[in-house]
Parts: sequence; C-alpha cells; structure tokens
Amino acid sequence: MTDRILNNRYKLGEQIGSGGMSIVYKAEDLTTGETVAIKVLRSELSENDQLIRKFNQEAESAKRLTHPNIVRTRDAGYDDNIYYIVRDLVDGMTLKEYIDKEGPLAPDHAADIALKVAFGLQYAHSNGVIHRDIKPHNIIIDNDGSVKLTDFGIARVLNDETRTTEYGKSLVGTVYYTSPEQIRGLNVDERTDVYSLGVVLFEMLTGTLPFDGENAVNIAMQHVTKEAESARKYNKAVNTSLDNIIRNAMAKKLDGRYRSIDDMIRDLQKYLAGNDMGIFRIAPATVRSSSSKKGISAKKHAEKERRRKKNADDINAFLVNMLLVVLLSGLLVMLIYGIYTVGSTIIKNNFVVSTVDVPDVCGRPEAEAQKLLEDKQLIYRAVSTEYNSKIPAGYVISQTPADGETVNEDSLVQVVVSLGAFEIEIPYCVGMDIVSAEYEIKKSGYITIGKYNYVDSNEPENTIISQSLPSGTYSLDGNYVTIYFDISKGPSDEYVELRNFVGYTISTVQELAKDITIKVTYEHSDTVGKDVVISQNIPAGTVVEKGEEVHFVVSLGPEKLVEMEVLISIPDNVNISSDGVLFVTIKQIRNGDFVTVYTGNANVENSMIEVTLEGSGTQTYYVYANNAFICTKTVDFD
Amino acid sequence: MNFEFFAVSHKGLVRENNEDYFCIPSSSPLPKGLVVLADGMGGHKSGEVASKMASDTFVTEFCALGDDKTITEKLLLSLEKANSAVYTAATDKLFKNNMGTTMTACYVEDTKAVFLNVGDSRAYLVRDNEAVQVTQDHSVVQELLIKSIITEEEAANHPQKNVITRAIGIEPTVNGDIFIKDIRHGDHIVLCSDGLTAHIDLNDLMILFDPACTVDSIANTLRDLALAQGGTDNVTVVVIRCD
Repeated sequence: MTDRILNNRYKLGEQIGSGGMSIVYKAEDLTTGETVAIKVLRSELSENDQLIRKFNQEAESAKRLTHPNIVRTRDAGYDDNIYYIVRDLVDGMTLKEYIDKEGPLAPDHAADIALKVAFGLQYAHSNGVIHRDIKPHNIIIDNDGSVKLTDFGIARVLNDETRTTEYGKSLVGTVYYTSPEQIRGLNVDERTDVYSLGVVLFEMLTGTLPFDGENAVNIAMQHVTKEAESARKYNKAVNTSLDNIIRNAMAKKLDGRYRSIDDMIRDLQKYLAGNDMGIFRIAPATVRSSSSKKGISAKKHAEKERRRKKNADDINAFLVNMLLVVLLSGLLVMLIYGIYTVGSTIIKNNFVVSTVDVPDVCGRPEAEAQKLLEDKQLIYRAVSTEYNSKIPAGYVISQTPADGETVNEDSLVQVVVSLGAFEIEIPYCVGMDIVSAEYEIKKSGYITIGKYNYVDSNEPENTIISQSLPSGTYSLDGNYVTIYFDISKGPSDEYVELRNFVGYTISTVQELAKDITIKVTYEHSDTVGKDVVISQNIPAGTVVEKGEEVHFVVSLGPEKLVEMEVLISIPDNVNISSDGVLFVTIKQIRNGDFVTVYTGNANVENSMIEVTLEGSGTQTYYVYANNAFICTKTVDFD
Repeated sequence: MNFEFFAVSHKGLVRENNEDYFCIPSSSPLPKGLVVLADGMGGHKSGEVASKMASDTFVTEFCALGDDKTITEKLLLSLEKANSAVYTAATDKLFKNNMGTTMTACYVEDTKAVFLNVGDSRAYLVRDNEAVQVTQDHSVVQELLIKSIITEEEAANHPQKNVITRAIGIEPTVNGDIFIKDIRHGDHIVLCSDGLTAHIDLNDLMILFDPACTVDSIANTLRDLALAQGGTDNVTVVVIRCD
C-alpha cells in the first residue's frame, strides 16, 4: 500500500492503525503538501456500489462538522477498488491506548475527557449527525491534551442504515459499547451516543469494562438485561454523583437515561465545578419527577386533567352514596352530616388544585432560590449550567417559567445555574489564512467558528480580513462562544477588457488606462489633431492581462512645412543648355510612394541651381536633370 | 436404509457471484453418506475460495480418516483441517479475519445421522409433515432470540441479520456443534444456506416431501421459491431422502 497514490492526490505512507473494517495510513495530500490520515475500507465494502453512495453521503455530512473536539473529515473517494476517507492527522494516541498506558484515570480527569467528547457530540447532534460507534478507539487524545472524536459516518452506514444482507455475511465485531437499542436492532437516536459515552466513562475510571464475557452474544445480552456494577467498586475515588452520571448515561430504558447529551454535559460540568450536590439518578416517568423539559407542560396538563376527573368522579360517587344512605335511614342523618363535612374538607384539601405566582429567583444563590420556590410549593430543578461573566458561581442565571407567572402548586421551575466567570483567550487572526486561523481557534478549545463570510478584498484569497470578537481575554457567557470571520475572496480578476482609446487625447488615455502599460509613438497626421490617438495596436474589446503593453500612435498634428531655398550642386557631366537652363525633376519617397515634388527649369549658376522646397524635419530628395538621375540631396528644414 | 441425495445452488437475484458450495455423494472419493454445505464470506470473491476450500479439505480429510474413529471424531477432526486450510490461506494481508465460511455437514448411515455445524447455515429433519431444525444458528440475531433478549419481531427486522458469531477460517481454531439423530424410513434431511430460510419457511411446504415427488424436484422447487421471493442471497439446498 505504501507509496500508492489515490486519485492522483493522496500518496499513502506508513500504516498507523487498523481495525476490523479498515486500515489507517499516514498520507501526503499532493495538492497541498499537507500530511493527512487516510482510512481505507475493507475490500468487500469497497466493491459495493450502493454502499459507496451511502459512504459518500455520510462523508459529506461528516465534512460539515467543524469543532474543537472533532477530527475534521476533509475528503472521501474511490480509486482502484478502494474506498477511502481523508481526515486531519492528529498527533497523539487513542483513548484506548491512553487508558492502557495510564491505567484508571483520576475522576476529574476522566470527567473532563468525557465532557470534551460530549461537547463534540453536542455539536454533531445539533447538526443532525449521530456517531453510533463511540468507543475509546474513536477518541483521540492529541499531544496537546486536546480530546477529539473521530470516525463519524461509517458506523451509521454499516450498523443501522444498511441491512447487513446488502453486503454479505460478516463476523460480529466489538459490542462492548453498543447500546441496548442497537443490540435489539431498533431505530436509534442521539441517546445511543450517550449510552456509549457512559460505558467509556466507566472504563476510564476503572480500567475495565462494565460488561465483558466469553463471546459477543454474551456481552450483547448483558447490555440488554444486566445492571452494570458500580464504578465505585473498582475505584474508590468515584463519588456518588459521578456514579449517578454513569448510571444515568447507561440506563437501559430511554426514560431513565439522559434525554440528550446536553443533560449529561450539565451534570459533568456541575461535577467538575465541585457543585455536584444536584446530580441525581433520573427516575423513569412517574408522577412527580419527570425531567422532560418539553413534556412538562403536556404531563402537567395530563396530571391536572386526571386529578380534575378523579375529583369529579370521587365527588359524584360520594354524593350518590350519601343520598342513598340518607334516603334509607333518617336516623343516621347526624352521623352522615358529620362525615359529609369532614369528607368534603378532606376532598378540598387533597384534590382541588390551587395556584401560585412564581417568585423571582434570578441572581440568587441556589439554596436561596430553592427555598424561595419550595416555600411557595414549587419544585426547584437546575437543568443546566453555564459560565457567566456577571453572575457568580452557584447563582441562578435564568428561570422558566418567569417570575410573576401564575402556575399550579407542585409545578416545576427550571433554572440555569452559573458556573461563574471563565476567561478564555481569543487569538488575533486577522491577516492569517483560513487554515492557520482555524488552528489557532481550535487550540483554545472553547471557541467554535461560525459560517465564513466571503468579501471582496485586495488581500490574497482566504485571508482573514476581520473577526467578530476582539482578540484578548474574553469572559464566557455560556459553554462556548462562536466567532465569525470575514474572509477575502482574493483580488478581483487579473484580466481587463481593453477599451477603445482611438480619438482620445493621450493625456485622457493615461488617466483612463490604469490597468495597462502605455507605449507611445508619434506621427504627423493631416487628419487627426495634435496629441490625439490615431491607433492602438490591440483592438478594443480584447481581454488582456493587467499591465499588458499597448502601443498607441499619437498624432503630432499636420507637418509644419518650412520653405527653404535649397542649393543643389550639378555634377560636371550633366548637359546644360546654352542659356544655362536645366530641366530638373526632384522626387521623394513619401509613404512608400516615389512622388515628384518639383518639376521645372532651373537656372544654373556656378554649377548650382537653387530650388525652393517645402518640408519639415530632415528629408532626402532625388534629383533628376533632363530625366536622368544625377544626385541625392538631404535637406534639414528645422 | 437407502439414501437418495440431491443438491442445487444458485447465486440468487441480487448477489454478483455465488459463494455457496456443496458436496454430495455422486463421485469418488466421497464416502457414501456425507454431505457438506458451506456459505462463504469475504471480499474480492474470497468467499467463493473459502467455501470451496473448506468443503474440499473437509471431505478429503474425512475420507482419509480410518474407521478406528467415531463419526463425531472424524467430523470434528475434518473441521479442524478445513479451518486451518482457510485460515492459513487468507492472503489478503490488508485485513485479517477477511476470508471465512459457514459449514453444515451431515453423515448418514443405517439409522443414524450425525450433524456438524459452524455458522448460520442449517440442517432440518423432516418427518411426519413437520420440519424441525436440528442445528443451532451461530448468528447474533438468532442467539439473542433464543435467549429471549429480543423478540421474534425484532429478530425478523434486525439490521444485523447477516452477522455471525462463528465461522471457519477466521481464528486458528473453531468450535463446531455436533447433533445426533435417529432416522427412520420416510424421513428427509434438508441442509440449506440462509439464502433459503430468508425467504421461505419449510413448514409451509411439506407437500413437497410427498414420496411421489423426486428428491430433485424437492430441491429445485425450494430454490425456485426462494428466487420467486426475491433471491436476495445465494441459495443452496441439499436434500437426503431416507427410504
């Protein structure tokens, strides 16, 4: 494989990894010189056209994922019976190798790695991409300590989207991290990634797997039927809160699992901030403790309705019974009256729902907020945590429902709690090219790049022209911040269409023709005025390169003619008539034609004749006497 | 007991080539009672190579082994030989575990049938209008179903129906399952690759096994029915009639 070139672009180098479905090579992108990682897929996968199409679709999805915690997919293609995927090359090791090397990790370290993976997943999920194959082999710890997810896409095509019958029989692979719903062949959603991350977290903390066995089916079974042991059994440093996080992630039933990766992020951040008092096991749907944000109003409504109905039915039943008793026996009236009074009070106290106004808990410490709410028979629930530049750690940032709203008693009031201020460094990227800027941004870990805005500029193509956030320290509000760049499209065209300059004065031409190099020669003209362009050597309408030389012929105006008495010596051998008169013809070459400029008799005196000629500059004449050429004469009129 | 054998194999209507293979008694040096069916896997047509190599090696070894060994021992030893042959022949250095095959074999003599199975091809015993599966599939979905980890419905629609847990040629050694059954006059034994059972249920087709039908009509009809239902995989059927 080494030195093989794919699609004339990627030159394969040394092998750097392998798996059941593929092998990874270092490679050189011959068009840019960059070193990349290329994953080559197994031959029978590479041969199936339908699969290739699906892989390409997945690669397109994966290419759109740009995030500090995701290894970027650059390209994918097919060449010579090989389907390959091109990714950034990350210098580092897989989490699998890291755990093998370091042993069980300290809880904070493991939670931090899990948090970074979760950030990557959060981004992917919000872009509609589920990983489906989260495992330590797909998590890279690079030499700077950054945590990056890789291998989006293939798992989706092979495990869930495609019936394995489409590409033939295969031997079962790793099932250590597979979610119960995947084992059962059901449709999976983002929560399958939460489960797998839970398993990874367990493994990071203990160095072992929650489910292991002698064969794949044995392990698969356990995911569906067996409760995992507590990680605390293997690592005493794991506290209840962290254990709860693992259990919440690894819940077999979806209603007992984190509803989304966001909820897992909330708990991990709480744990890391030392604020882990509020990390509870998620209780599957029972009357009070539903943690579903969307479902709350529906559930509350259903409960309200149920209670109303029960209330109405109970009262009806009771009244009917009471009437029957009264009708049957008047002697019991006193006793019945007593029961009725007490009974209706009981009903009123337990079944009629009262309402309450939601107090304002924003800006208050959690404990105080909780007490304020509970004093009003409301339930306090912290649903997420965020950094905030203004609100101190442990204080409430926002609440839902808002203060002043009227709700039923026992309603849930959800708050966002502050993690306090957190400053990050925003790098100065103006003037950098996109690749360098992306690198700088990714290094920081808490910044994502928003959609690029391409603008006209004289700067070279792909240079950052401006950034939406100033460089320097920045106080986070939220879990990360998005920066936007204006990027130069590159200087506009290097070509210009030549216009017509004929008829313009040369000074006008010099003003107008900024994109070309002007060369001028001068000529007399009787028809074209002085300083006006007579002709241009490249016709108007021609597209030329900027800076192209264009030659203009500019008029000097009509020739200024000077009259001059010219003396011409007559050679001795010329036959002169007796009265000293010579028939002279003087010719000149003008515009390629041999024209006669003088014809007539001239008096010869002292072997000379005098002729009046008119011209400008230096002219050469050919003198004929008696129609025979005798000599040339050069005259300088100036 | 007299035995009649017939087998057919077809690449189906979807696959590019046929990676199934079978051996039945029709020419020497095959011993009179042995049938073998194999369903190969692997890219670049290595499935074809694997199923043929495994079957031929298996049969040759079985014939070469002396009668001092029981049928079961002979079957297991032949399996080991076949496995080694495919395992060492895996020439695709690009991917280890790439070339393999299932195998279902059956040896009949007198009133006994001994079955060997690795993978998800199957053997059935058809008696008194009922087809009973003799072997147990080494397929992820089937194993989960048998253990009631998943329901029948989940198994029927499972995306990973073609994922097997055991195969010849993948590891240096492989475990084969042995099943022993008594056979009676009028019994039929059917071996088939999963390309058949993907489309039909034998118990719906007991009429085919009427003594008036020939063994070739049984095999041909089963194959045709699978093709009529889509033929999504290679389909191979081996029929033994016990008279």
